[in-house]
Amino acid sequence: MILHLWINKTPTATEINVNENLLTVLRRLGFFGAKSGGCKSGECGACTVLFDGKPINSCSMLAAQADGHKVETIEGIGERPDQGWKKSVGLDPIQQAFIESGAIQCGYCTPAMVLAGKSLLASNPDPEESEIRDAISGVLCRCTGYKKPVSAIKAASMESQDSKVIEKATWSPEIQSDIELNRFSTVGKNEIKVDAIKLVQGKPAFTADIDLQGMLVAKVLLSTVAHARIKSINIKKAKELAGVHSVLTWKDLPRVVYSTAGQSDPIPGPLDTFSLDNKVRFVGDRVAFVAAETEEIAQQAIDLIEVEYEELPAVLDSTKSMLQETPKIHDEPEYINFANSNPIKNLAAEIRIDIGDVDSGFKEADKIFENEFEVPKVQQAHIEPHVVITYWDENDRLVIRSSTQVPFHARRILSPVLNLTIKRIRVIKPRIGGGFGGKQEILVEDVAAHLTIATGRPVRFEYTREEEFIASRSRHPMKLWMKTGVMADGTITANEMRVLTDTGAYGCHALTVTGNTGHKAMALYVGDGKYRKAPNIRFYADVVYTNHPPAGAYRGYGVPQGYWAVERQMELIANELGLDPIEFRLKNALRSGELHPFSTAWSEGREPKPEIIHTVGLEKCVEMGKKAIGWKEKALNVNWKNIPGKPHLRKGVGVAMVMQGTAIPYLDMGAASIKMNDDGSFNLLIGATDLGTGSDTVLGQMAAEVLGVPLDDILVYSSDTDFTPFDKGAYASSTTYISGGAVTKAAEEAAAMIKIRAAALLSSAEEILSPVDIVLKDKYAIAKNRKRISLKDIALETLHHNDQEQIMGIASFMSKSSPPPFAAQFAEVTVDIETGKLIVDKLVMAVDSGVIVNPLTASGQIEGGMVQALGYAVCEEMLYDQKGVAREKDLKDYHIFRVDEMPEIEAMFVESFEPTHPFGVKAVAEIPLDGVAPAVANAIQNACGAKLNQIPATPERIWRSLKSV
Amino acid sequence: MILEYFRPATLSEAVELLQRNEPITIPLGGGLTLAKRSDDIAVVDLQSIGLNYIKIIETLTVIGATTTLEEMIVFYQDNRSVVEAIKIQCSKNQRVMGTIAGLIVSENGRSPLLTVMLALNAQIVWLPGEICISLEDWLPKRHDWKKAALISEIKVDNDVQVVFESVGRSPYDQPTICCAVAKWKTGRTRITFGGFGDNPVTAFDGDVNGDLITMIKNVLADSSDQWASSVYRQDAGTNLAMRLLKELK
Ligand SMILES: Cc1cc2nc3c(=O)[nH]c(=O)nc-3n(C[C@H](O)[C@H](O)[C@H](O)COP(=O)(O)OP(=O)(O)OC[C@H]3O[C@@H](n4cnc5c(N)ncnc54)[C@H](O)[C@@H]3O)c2cc1C
Ligand code: FES
Ligand code: FES
Repeated sequence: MILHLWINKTPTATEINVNENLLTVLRRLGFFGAKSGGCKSGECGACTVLFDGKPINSCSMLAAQADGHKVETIEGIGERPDQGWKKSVGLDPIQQAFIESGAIQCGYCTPAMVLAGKSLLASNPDPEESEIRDAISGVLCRCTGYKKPVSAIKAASMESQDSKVIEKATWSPEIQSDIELNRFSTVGKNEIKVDAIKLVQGKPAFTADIDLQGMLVAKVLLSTVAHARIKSINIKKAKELAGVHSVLTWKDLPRVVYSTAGQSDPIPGPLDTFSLDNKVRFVGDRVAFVAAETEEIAQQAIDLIEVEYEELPAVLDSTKSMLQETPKIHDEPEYINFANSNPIKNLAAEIRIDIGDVDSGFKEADKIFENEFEVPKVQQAHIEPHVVITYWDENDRLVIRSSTQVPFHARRILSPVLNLTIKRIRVIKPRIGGGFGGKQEILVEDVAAHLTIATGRPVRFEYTREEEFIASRSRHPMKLWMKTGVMADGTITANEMRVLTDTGAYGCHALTVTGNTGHKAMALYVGDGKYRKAPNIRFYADVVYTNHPPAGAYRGYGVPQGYWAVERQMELIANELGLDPIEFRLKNALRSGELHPFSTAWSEGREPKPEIIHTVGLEKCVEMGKKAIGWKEKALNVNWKNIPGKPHLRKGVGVAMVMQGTAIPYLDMGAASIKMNDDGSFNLLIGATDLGTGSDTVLGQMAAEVLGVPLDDILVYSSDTDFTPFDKGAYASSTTYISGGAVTKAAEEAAAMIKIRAAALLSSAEEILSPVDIVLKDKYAIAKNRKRISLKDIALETLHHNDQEQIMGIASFMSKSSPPPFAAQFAEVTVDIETGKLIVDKLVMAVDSGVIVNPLTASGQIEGGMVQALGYAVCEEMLYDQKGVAREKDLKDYHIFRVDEMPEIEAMFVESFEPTHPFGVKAVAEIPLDGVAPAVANAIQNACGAKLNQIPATPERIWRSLKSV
Repeated sequence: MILEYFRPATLSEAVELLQRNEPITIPLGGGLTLAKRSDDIAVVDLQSIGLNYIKIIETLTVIGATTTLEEMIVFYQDNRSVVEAIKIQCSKNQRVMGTIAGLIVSENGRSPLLTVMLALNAQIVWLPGEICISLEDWLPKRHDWKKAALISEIKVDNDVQVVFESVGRSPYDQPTICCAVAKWKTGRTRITFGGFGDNPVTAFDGDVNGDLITMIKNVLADSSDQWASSVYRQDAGTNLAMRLLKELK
């Protein structure tokens, strides 16, 4: 039919199929600001457009329903004011407020939020906060924690300038600092994100936002059984279907064993995966690939493939994986072990770490505490699904345009799988719509690439939300057992953790994730007195295969699992010994100048080297957090805990202390290059990948600081394996530290060249200047005698006028240490003691992350991270039935927090200067995932005595615990 | 897959189209569920047939079938319980599109709003034939309901007060258990539960006397599923019902 509608006030007529949804049609017409979250039932809202002025999900509306109506997309809302000689009306005030407030992280949900906010303000120019939250409740954001988007809409709504100023004052977090930061002009400032303007306009910045001539759509047939050998596959009917260009099964592909984990070479884990295999190992495992003209044809072809399975007994209980009689999940001869992995025992990794003399430590204790804990499998749930486009370029090189956190690892790992040399592969990483570790996996790239090789055509492959749940990666579920020896005065004499990890069907990240569970969570409490110098710590873990979907990397990387056990254990001990839970923790916690206890024992499967911890701001974090949550007034106050008129409710507060790491020492390397342009601006090329964290911005700020220019003069580009230097990618909380180190060094090289030229240009017969006499500031090279020359003039001089040369710098950075950030996490809750219903009222996190390069982006990381961790604490969980079929397949059953049900959240910082980094930074990104679950459970215990050993803290679990009290 | 799309301008035209069997022809409310159907169907979009209204007619509130959940929120803005049930059910975008009839037809026992509508003893009017049937009677028959094709309106008594509470993993999570209690001026009281199963269930209807707790425990006895046990639901459900009854007093 011909669809007639007004799009952004322009009458539009277009031919559609009645089966098409509005989102498909809008994107076909080039309105890429409407995004897809892959939903079947319209849960995420990324596809929001205004329909007759009101927000709707364009993916759940037939295009035909819109006939005769008005549709507004982000493209019609506002644009950059200066467009060369043409001036535009500029950005909408909401867009401007989103940019300034730091409300944009990955930006995938941003157009939807802006549109929903705009619709609200059109009918209600001065809304209450609750009205704003309701108005944007259709849009899920996995990055921001919603605080800044809500505040941005509020600021945009305010008529009076004074109110706006007050609202804007809340955007920057509280920072307690004894560092003299005034010496910096860009570092430490709330610079707006370098990508904010394009994201707020919904520009086609993401992987799927291009349309290539002749592009095919890929689909994968997924296994419906948990463990089976494929007896036969009949693809005849599928191949014959008109519009199908390729159907691939295991018989068509080279048999190359690899790991999907995007890590450095050699992969610290077993190689146990094939693009396609003759065996399936979980419900959701790959069986066949199809490329067709349209998504519907591809799906029809998938439905036409006939598979005969020889079913094998499924291993769905991790405690039974290693029993002799249990079927072996990996019996393929190509399997390549790493360290102690052993497929005969269904063992993907084994860790045995003893620090000090643990058994003597237990003997020295007055009391031994033993407890068991459990954590679930949970999903990264980035709103942009996994997505890739592949094509052959004019040089017959395979281009992989992918939403990946690890473009360089992807290229290296895919090379043998595709039988192409590395030099024939180019990986382009456009904007990423959230990753959280999920895109540290080489999960979709090979599918599209094989199909491009088979057909010669460009191929797009994008996961649906259901595929994200059943065929993607997740946080490793673990069973943890703790034993702690404590003296009567609260000194910890020995601490032991044993872990059983379910890695699922493949061992991607098996060793390293669980290794970090011990390495970070068991490192914090070393004990007091003589134990500080010689702590007794044991960490043993078995990481076993099962026929569940594989686990992998997820922000926090094993550490949230560890802290659930450690921080519950600390609470239970303090409670039983009648000790103040905060003093008990601080008494035993690591202090500055001490050795990281694990640094001599383990380093991600590589040789460990001792590391001193230089800065520990934990005590200050505790003080700040206590004040913000009102610890003194609440923790022991029975009057506060009981609510008048509500005898079934109890209130409580809880605390958890945590530390993370910053990069992997002696391994992680990032590089950067900088070149100067004719106008004194610079191109900064980095291999680092910004997944919404703001790393492009903070790296730009470091370069700007060194080069004495505003951030606006640094054009940041990341990443393309052909153009940008190597970077290990975005993981291990390393970008600001590692890639930042590289950027700083590269900028210093360029600055050195500028200073040489400036010194020469500013010298006179009377006074010969040396480069050390020059500082770069405010776009000028300024000599100590105050003579100055603009960078633009230096650029013209060096590029065009005399002794021509390109001013540039290129550098790399590898760290010998992994300085841990520290944090104190607080929670306040209300528990319904009759039903177990839990309301988390407030979360406060005070973080020591070294120097805060950009308070806005850093606080955004903490706020968003806390909300992800809140899901882990109370509602997120992936469960499977006896056949290994997932219970959670969409964002309705797998509930992530909506904006209108959020607790109050507050992020704050204690600033220290980390001496191993030029700008004194440590990591921010992962630590907010670590403490929320135990802090919430400790608050529940404080409120009503329920002692939880398992998350999520569902009403029934709380109710059961209360019944057993 | 949707093969044909119709947008009739009148109710009678819509009813006539819905009599077709080849292909199966069904009503399109907001389209939230239909957009994802994979079987071959034709749809009759109800947006132009004038069923978008909420009227008070004598002792009844009459809600047109295509009234959106967002319009319901506006109408019921002073009724915390109805508003809460709708907000748990759907976010803003879904409420703007989703219609009350579409919800009644497509939702299951986990639906908070359906639980509230059941407590209110909502009556559904079907066309052709103006068949008026209570939600209570229709829900068990819904999977093989062939008597009529189209809901035209939903009727609810005015002289009734309703309270509702839901327990989920977060404030707006789908309920693990939810309870609605409605009380008429006459003293008639209905207690319904949702959060599990195919349909919400009625635990009690009448004047409150006798052993309510046993009745509640009985109706929740088989409520175990992958989300919660019946033992839990029986205990939490009893507590919710008693609390809500007290609130109505
Ligand atoms: C995120 C999300 C999750 C959902 N999850 C579930 C779920 O788990 N379980 C579930 O059952 N539903 C679910 N739904 C469905 C949703 O709650 C309701 O479908 C929605 O409110 C229906 O409104 P609609 O007008 O969009 O219905 P439509 O999709 O238009 O119609 C729904 C059904 O009702 C019929 N119908 C519509 N109007 C009439 C009428 N006047 N007379 C007779 N029949 C009519 C349609 O033919 C169709 O069968 C979900 C919806 C969303 C957006
Ligand atoms: S709601 Fe439309 S893509 Fe998620
Ligand atoms: S910024 Fe909202 S999903 Fe990433």
